[in-house]
Amino acid sequence: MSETDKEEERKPVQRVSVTETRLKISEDGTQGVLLGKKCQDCGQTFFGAPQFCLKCTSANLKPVELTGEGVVTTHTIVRQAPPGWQGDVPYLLATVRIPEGPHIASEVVDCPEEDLKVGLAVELTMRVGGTDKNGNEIVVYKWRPRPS
Amino acid sequence: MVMKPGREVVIAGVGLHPFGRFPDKSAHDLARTAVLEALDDARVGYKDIQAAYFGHVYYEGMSMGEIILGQLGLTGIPVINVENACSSGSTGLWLAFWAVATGQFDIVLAFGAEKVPRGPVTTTSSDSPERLIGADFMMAAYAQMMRRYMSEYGAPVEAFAQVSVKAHKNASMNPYAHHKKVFTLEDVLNSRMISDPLTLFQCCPTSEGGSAAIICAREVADKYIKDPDRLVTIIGTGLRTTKFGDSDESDQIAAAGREAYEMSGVGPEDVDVVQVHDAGTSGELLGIESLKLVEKGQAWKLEMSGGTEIDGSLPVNTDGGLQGMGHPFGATGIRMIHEIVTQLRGEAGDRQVKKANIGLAQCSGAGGIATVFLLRK
Repeated sequence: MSETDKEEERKPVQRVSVTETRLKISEDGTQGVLLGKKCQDCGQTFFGAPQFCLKCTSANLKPVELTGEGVVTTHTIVRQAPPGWQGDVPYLLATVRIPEGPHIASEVVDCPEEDLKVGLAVELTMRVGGTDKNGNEIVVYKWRPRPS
Repeated sequence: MVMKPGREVVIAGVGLHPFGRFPDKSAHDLARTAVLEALDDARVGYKDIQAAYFGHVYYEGMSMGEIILGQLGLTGIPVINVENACSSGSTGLWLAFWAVATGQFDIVLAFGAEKVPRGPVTTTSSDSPERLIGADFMMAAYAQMMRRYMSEYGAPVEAFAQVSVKAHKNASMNPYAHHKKVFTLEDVLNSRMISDPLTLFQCCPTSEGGSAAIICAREVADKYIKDPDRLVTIIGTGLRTTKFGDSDESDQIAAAGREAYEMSGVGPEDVDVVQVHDAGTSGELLGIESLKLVEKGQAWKLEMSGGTEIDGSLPVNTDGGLQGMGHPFGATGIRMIHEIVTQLRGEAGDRQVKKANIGLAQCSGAGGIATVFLLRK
């Protein structure tokens, strides 16, 4: 083992958000909330942190926390991993409409393939989606079927 | 607001380098072959070209358009390199059209080329969050469009597979095509699943190739063009990007289509031959519906009944489309124009449609880009 490896070993593994403009996580990375902005002029809500309103171009936006649940509008099962994907293959991918309006695409976990349908009610869950170049675990927002 | 051209613009010549894999050639070689073919087709010399627009996506060094054309003569003309994803070539043509239409130049060149690497196509940079989220995969996007369409209209997977069967049949009659093999419906449906319900033979091949077109003002055509019978007029064009509230690329295609129809004064009912962006087979069904060439929710029935075949009521992707021709990103937009021009001139041989007076070419680019061109003989 090299000196560098020993240095790395001493550092505790950090958990970091896949992108801080869209996802705020707890320190242990097990809890998370989706972030957005709401236009104070036209009332439209957006996922992430646009600088201006995407509907009316107003600069008058306020940060908001988004609902962590929604409904599948379309979906697929990816059987050939695209470059950069660090998870299992195949994986279930869905586009989900949340009550505030935005559509948010991510993996659907804890879901048998045959249960993935347009209209499926899902909720947010946090999973480690990979490791960054500093060895930190990257926490990614994912969807899972909402208990009925 | 629809822009109006100040004067009539024609396509004087078109050229292609065949699409496929060419390990011994650079993208520069592919582009130059297409340009020389287009100049030859128009019977115009490179010395007459007043400006050039080059569509290209992958980075292969700076000012690639200048380097390619530099081998044909250093004439000092403006050369513009255009990156607009898969619609880079058609965006260059759009710029070329407006430059001539507004009187900036009389005769210009639009061209494109690409050597797309093998493997799944992504659209963001390698360190983007989308890669880890798993949503950055072009064919997963086409699969999701397909799933939504199936869910809304009850279309079966066979309707999408038929797009590929027809495309490959057309490509088998085209010497420029990447995939000339004919497939059955079973071949397409039983090929490897890439992103449910999209199978391998419903995903366009990543390819290498080049394309070019010479654009000219009608009023000065006599000065340059020796054969006026082969001129094809650009009667309308549109280029649109995502507008808030759009659900997917269908909405940008519809908006670009409206722009082109309004400019041209013709409607969907006047169109005889069509090229649309079938990167995934779902692209064709959504494309022809967005362009109002068929009623919403009816494209899959038209496809299954043979209506989009060369001898059908609405011939679509007569040269093989992206499915059969393959998809060298920067070259695809002008490849579509090449086919429409060939059809309108009546020079398509075995692929010739019976009535070809007005043709439409629609090209999409990742990130919500759509271009549409309407051409008339």
